[in-house]
Amino acid sequence: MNLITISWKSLQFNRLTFFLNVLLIAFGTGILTLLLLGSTQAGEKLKGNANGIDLVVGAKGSPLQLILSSIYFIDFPTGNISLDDAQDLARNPMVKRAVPLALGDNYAGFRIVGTDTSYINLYNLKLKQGRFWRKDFDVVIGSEVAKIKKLKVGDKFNGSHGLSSDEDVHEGNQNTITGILESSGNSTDNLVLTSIESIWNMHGIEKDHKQSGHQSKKEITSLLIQYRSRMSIVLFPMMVNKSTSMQAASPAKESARLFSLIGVGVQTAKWFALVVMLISAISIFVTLYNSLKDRMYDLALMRVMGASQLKIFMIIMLEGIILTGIGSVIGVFLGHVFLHIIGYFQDSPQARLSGFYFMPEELHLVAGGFFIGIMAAILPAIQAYRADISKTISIG
Amino acid sequence: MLTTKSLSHHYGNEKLSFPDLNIRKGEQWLLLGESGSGKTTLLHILTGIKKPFSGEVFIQETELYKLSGQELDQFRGQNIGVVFQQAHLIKSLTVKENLFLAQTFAGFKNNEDRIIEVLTELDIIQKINSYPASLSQGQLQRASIARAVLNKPFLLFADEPTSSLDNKNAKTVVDLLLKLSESSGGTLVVSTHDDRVKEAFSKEYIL
Repeated sequence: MNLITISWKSLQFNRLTFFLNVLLIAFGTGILTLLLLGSTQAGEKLKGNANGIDLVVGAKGSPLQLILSSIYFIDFPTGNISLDDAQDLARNPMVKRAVPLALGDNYAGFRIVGTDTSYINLYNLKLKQGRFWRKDFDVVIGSEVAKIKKLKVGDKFNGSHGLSSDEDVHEGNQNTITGILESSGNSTDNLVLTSIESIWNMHGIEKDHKQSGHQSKKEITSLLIQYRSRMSIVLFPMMVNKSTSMQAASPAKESARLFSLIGVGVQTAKWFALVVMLISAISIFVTLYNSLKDRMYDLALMRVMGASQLKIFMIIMLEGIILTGIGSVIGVFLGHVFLHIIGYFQDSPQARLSGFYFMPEELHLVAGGFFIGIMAAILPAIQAYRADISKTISIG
Repeated sequence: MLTTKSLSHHYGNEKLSFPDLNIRKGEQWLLLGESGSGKTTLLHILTGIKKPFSGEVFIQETELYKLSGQELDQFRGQNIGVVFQQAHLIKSLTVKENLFLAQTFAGFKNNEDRIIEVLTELDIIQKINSYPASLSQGQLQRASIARAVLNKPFLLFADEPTSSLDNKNAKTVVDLLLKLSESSGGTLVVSTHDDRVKEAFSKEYIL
């Protein structure tokens, strides 16, 4: 029989109160864990996907939409831009690398992206199996696509028109999987990559142009730009926005804007969780303080049996610490579970949140729980420490 | 064994002076007095849970109130057993766990064999795993006695141990206290105003 057992047994004696207090602490810690893990993962995913991309050029419209559709493959594209205009821009001396993207199709919700080898180099993509595309309708799939759809090299499938449904199937041309990418932890895991020509051919554009004999009127969706020098940060987007029919959007700027929009909600939820934690601290204080009235005789008897004042103080302190300790550990665990559930039901696999993501800051949350326990228990513990044994026993 | 010198205490303007006691090892004494005569106060002073206003208490060679707070707690846990008027066990613990507590706080290892031995002697072994709420008043008092004698204290105090019991249970409790103190060779001091107890003791202090 040690002090922890004594405190534990005492807590167990009032199970309903114990359960309620643990629930309150777990609720508050759970929300904070969810916010901490969710916002960090979302931030990392945003940063990881945009790494190395200084600017996105696409059709005029919402700059945030352009960023979301071309880097994170979440939203719908703003429209198409002329291939000639895009090539002119790519030849600008300020541009170090320009990666073309052609969107418009999907396979079972996974976006089919027409691009060239510069995209592979931009994300440093490596093959797990097979080879990259060589001819039209050769495709390379991301690791998540292979895993979820159970696809292997050599398998064939028909793409569908649009970005998120599989209703309007391209019956004529089948795509052949020539390679499967290694997992890279970013949006490329959820993509089907192919040549831009495949996208054009899938939609009959190549054939139409050959037949009409016109100069190229081919279009792409967007261009991912890497600057040659940081000096271009101000000049280049201004030039694109003012002197072309296209728009330039900065991923850093738009991500920050997106985060500031989400941030209001995150901040509100954080305050809500902190209020819950405060309420739980008050609840634990009231519980311990009230129970002390009933238990004064017990504590006095313990003193008669030889327990020192410090031991009595520790018994009450441990009750607060055990309550909040259990509550905060359960809260952190539930935070992970709920985050995983949220990730499971997320529409866009590119930004999928995972419960199997751990941060050292979670220990701060548990430590915060312990701190609340200490603060809630300290006054009742001091009262128990100072209790007059003789008076308590005489009153009975 | 237990000696006191010039003990006094006061509650506001009311001053209580106590006779000097000189109780030897193995003796069984009664502290007699009407309500308000200071029996409980004296008993609390003798058990080290109430510091007197003046005077000294010696148990064997130890002057009780010269010990530091922690030393006094440990001394009490290891050498003094107390049975209170109100039979009380800690509600959240079983009888066995209540007795473990007495061993723990006295600084002894938990010894289940000793607990079984004492509970068997007090005829409540069948309640070893019961919670106090399921015990009768008589059983509670016996369990309280078990807790008091568990660590084989050389001084056993009982404060009005029979006041809430019927005649049959009162006799049982007094017999048990006498038997337990005799068998352990310890000293017994019972404070009471209950006439039913008087006959069983030959030595008494009247307050």
